[in-house]
Amino acid sequence: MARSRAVLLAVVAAIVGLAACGRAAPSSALERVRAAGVLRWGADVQGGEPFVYGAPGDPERLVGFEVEIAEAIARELGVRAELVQNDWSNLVPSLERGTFDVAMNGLEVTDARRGRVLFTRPYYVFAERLMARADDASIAPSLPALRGKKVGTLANSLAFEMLRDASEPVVYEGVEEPYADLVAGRTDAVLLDDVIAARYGAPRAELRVVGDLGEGYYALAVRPSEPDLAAAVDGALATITASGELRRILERSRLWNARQDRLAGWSAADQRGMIGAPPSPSPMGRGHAALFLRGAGVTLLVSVLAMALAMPLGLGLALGRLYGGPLLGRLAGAYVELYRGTPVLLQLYLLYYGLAPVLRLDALPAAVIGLGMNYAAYEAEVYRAGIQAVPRAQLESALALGMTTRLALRRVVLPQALRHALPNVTNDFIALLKDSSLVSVITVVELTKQMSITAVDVRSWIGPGIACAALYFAMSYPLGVMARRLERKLEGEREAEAAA
Amino acid sequence: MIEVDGVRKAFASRVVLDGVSVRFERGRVCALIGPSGGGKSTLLRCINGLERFDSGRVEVDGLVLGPSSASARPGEAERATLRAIRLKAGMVFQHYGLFAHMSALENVMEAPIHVRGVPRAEARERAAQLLARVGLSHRRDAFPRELSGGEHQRVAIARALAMDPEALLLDEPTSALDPDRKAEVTRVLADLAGAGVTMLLVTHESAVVREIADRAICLREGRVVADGAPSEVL
Ligand SMILES: Nc1ncnc2c1ncn2[C@@H]1O[C@H](COP(=O)(O)OP(=O)(O)OP(=O)(O)O)[C@@H](O)[C@H]1O
Ligand SMILES: [Mg+2]
Repeated sequence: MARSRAVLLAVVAAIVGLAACGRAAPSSALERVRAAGVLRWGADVQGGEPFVYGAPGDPERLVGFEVEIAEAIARELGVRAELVQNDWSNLVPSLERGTFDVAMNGLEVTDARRGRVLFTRPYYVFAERLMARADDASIAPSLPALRGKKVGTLANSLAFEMLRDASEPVVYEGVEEPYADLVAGRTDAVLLDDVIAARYGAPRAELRVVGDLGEGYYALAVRPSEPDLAAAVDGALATITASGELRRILERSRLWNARQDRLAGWSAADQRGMIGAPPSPSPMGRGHAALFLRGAGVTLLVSVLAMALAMPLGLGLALGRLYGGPLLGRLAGAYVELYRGTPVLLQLYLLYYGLAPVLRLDALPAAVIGLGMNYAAYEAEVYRAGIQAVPRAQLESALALGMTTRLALRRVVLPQALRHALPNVTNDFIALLKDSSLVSVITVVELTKQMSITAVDVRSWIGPGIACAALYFAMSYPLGVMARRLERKLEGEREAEAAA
Repeated sequence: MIEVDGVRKAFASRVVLDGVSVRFERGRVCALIGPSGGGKSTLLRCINGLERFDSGRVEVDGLVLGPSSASARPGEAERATLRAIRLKAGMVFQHYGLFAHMSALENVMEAPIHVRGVPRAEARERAAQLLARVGLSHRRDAFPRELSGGEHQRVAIARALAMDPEALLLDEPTSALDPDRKAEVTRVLADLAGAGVTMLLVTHESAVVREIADRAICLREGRVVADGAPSEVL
């Protein structure tokens, strides 16, 4: 007893010592960057023009106004800049994890982010621009006028925060899709930064600019534990702003306008005004619980309906492959290979965005059809294996008793094949529950999407992550137990059959 | 009542039936014997259309089957002929023939109800009688996995009889069984033979041939090499 306490004490002491060591070697962030000779900045190349994108004619070489700003800042710090590709919606978590030194990619100064990162002075002042279809006069340039309207925007953006309580936001992950869907009539309006609206919305003749609903800032984000790096970057930005270099960079990307005049005279008071006192994050509460349950409901709904489509379709494909003759058999085989051989994400994209000009499916039906058609390919193989597991002598016995092939399949082969297939079908359904999180790319807010939205709200992934995992687990665990039980039962029957 | 005339059948390039011609008379029990791979099962399967043949013809009680390639899908008329022939010539396989998801009784009732349209109650009563005839009244609710090999074969025989076939084709009904079970099944077959049921029986066992057959045919390499009384052919 005394011995084990001594061991425990030693362990605790070691941990405390290690932690103290970590704190005792505070090589500053700026020193670290200078020593490495490189400022690593996080951005998502998928965000596209004019932020960061492949040069026309030489897509390997990255250009864009943020590339130029990063290079100018790095030069001022006496290092070179290196872009670290990172999914846009995870720039802040990746910054916190230490994947790169700073994040810069049209990162708006929002309430949610102010509480998590240090923002430098801004390098661009943007407007939230509302666009609608040219022939739709019902959209007016004010937030209250958007009540009940479907308004497209990006997840975790300032526009999303503005729209959340004012309208029905439809969240996208790319900048092209919100405008494509607006043209297609799936939404009533799009609210996004003017930089995005100018490149992706304004060129579409079917759309018009309704007006600007507010302003905001793009600034670089730095880890809160590294104020020296934040100050150094801030100083570098001040230098290139004062020298007129920032203006030339913005002009080259045709981004300069009267709003940017504010950047030159940016004061400490302006900075305080921009950052303000970060509002304390709302703790996870009853409101979030309701949202999570709704997300779980959407996940369950999409999964159940998709499976309800996948099962009969898969059965048809399996029968076509086994008994449909050469033509039908080959078609069914091609379907299975095609759907299993390409990513379901791509299939969802093609179905929802690719087919939009000819077939305008709503998001939920598209999600159900897309997942259902994909899973049908897997179900087809499960049923095929189940059918082939029924001894051929049983089918021949049925035929020898005068049954037609159809009757023999219906009465003899399929009841057994489906029973054999049941554990696998159940396991596939569990996989589908989780795969259904992919449908957020076509704007369906299901459980995982709800989790990432809430995580931004409450400034933490832990609570929402655990709640989300618990809900998935609650849905899939009972099914898993059922599948295993069925499997054991069938196993027992098969052994008995083999012994007979 | 069954006439096989010059039937030739090859799997890929391997000739399995090489111009077989035989007639089987109503009310007689004929044993098909011969070495393994001689073509006995294939001949049985050709007679009730589970296997198509390359040339020759098969006639069952006036219904005629001609040659056809295995890959061609039979037309509607041909399918009807096939079904009619199968109703006249019931078949019992060596093993795994029972429907595994149905009880013994349901196995026997299944085809009368769904092929002939016999009312359920009537089919059930008839199935119970047939199970009694093969000595299995007490096992009617058992599933195939709960049946011994001999019980299995007797249910299969009852099931074939339920369709009132003109003839029974049996492919080695006793070969997978231990001696006691063999005796059970042989007794049932002897009863049927005594009752005048036409049977065509593939077997390796001379005891079975002697006990119930009144004629034996030996197939070797796809040809009939002997045909006559069991004592002569054996
Ligand atoms: N579906 C098939 N495909 C290819 N070859 C086959 C097929 N069915 C049977 N054969 C071959 O045809 C030949 C005759 O087979 P068959 O089953 O008729 O012989 P058998 O006389 O019944 O033999 P056994 O006494 O072993 O049952 C064998 O060589 C067998 O390998
Ligand atoms: Mg055989």
